[in-house]
Amino acid sequence: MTTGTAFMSDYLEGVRSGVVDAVAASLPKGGPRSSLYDPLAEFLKRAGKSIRPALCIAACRAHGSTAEHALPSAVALELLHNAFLIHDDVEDGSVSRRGSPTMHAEHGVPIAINVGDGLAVLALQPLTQNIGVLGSAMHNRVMAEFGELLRMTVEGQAIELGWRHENVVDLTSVDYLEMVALKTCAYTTIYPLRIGALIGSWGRADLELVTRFGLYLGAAFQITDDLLNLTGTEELYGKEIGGDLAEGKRTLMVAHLLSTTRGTDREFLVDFLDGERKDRSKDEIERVRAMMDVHGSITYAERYTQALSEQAVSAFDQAFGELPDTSDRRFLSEAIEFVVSRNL
Amino acid sequence: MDNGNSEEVRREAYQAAASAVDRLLERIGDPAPSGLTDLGTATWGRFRAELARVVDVNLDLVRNAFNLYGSMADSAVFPAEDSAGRLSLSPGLAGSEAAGLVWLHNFDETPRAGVALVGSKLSTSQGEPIVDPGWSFSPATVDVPARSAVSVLAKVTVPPDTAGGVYDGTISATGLQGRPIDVRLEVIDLEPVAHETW
Repeated sequence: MTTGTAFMSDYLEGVRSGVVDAVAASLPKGGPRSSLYDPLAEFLKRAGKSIRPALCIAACRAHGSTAEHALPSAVALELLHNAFLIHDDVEDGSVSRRGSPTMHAEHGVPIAINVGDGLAVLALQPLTQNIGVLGSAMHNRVMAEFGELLRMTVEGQAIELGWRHENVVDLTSVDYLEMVALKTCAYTTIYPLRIGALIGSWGRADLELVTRFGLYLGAAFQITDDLLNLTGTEELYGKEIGGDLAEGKRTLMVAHLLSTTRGTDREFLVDFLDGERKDRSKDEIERVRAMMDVHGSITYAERYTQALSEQAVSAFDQAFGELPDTSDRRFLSEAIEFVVSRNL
Repeated sequence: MDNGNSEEVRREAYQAAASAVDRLLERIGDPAPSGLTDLGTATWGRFRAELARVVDVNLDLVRNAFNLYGSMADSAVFPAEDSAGRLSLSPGLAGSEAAGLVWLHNFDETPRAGVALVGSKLSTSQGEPIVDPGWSFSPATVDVPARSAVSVLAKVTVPPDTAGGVYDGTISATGLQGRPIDVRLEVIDLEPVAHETW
């Protein structure tokens, strides 16, 4: 049996190659090229982890079905994910993504927004194939899942943008988790797992248990991502280190720091979080980062993630524990350790 | 938020996560699963799931087949002619077959044997053609008794790249008096489900 990391990498690569082929086949061959399909195709080629389609396909196959039944949904998830990334980067003013300039940094904001729209529109195409693969009844259920996924994602993003816009500083970890459940978990873990389990079990799976597992896994994934943004290396992480601080994002570490600083430090922090990215200097960013070390915000977030991963293990056992011991079930199980111990 | 020991952080994380999960589940409001989980082994469950999938997918096929038979029955009872007396072929979907029932009338006292039908090309009023509609007739030839009528199912294969629009043409009958029958095919610009993926 391969080691955990090698197994996960192999599994993800296997899914990724299948999804990449399906995505490539679904791209229009005509124009416009330079302002739409060329930058869109280039963005899709950048190395992503394909965690969302992998979770969808694994949940489907773990229930005994085949990858083909979940593939259209998995492709749609990957296209939507890339659409969200491009729009997120515009909203956040991010400068690098997957080791290269963001779409808007390279092609300008108008083209970036339209390419993001294009990816979202293209995601509808594989979903229409579901009616032939799954029949109209299951197709309708899957479409309802996608509808809820999309709504939660934009609502979660709106909550976070609203916090930044209104400089909300009295946040608890419950506020943070509820935002992350919508903004990240819905489309990264919860609905990929739900859709895969729904298709694979033909409606028999207990989706409430799947949702619990997805939320714990997704929240651990997001906090780890936020930690990497502070402690990782740009070469591996693919995004600028400290970018979240520059953007004024309300991460768990920022929420913790807000709750533990007092006096002038807190005044500085509240003032730092107000305003726009261009108003935050490198020195100020480094000061906030140093405050996090002093107040133990990084350690707090690491412990918090560890607790979430413990809950994910328990939720996994309830949601998938009774299924046969296959490589797909193993992938779902090891996804917990994978998301919290990754360095990219 | 706590900056204390790992046990306190763990407790806080557990409570926060439980609250977030409850809020989310309340919002989703999943229906209970269909109750098959206690019916036996995982293998049996997987078999049931696959069976359900096959039944659901085939239910669509059966539904479509009944719709087709219903249309054919309608055509037999009510010949598919429009107000101008033209035969309408349906459903007009690019990449699929369209069909209509042709009624051949023999007003003579003499029976006509081996009557065959020939379809023309179909074109829009602007002259955009379906050059090869792939006409087929079932049966290929018919005997029409004296002073009676028989029906023939006429089918065309609408090429996949056919643009939406109204296409007109004719069907002629060899060995039977009378003018050609006007035919109309309205192609709707929808992509049909590929049958081979079912």
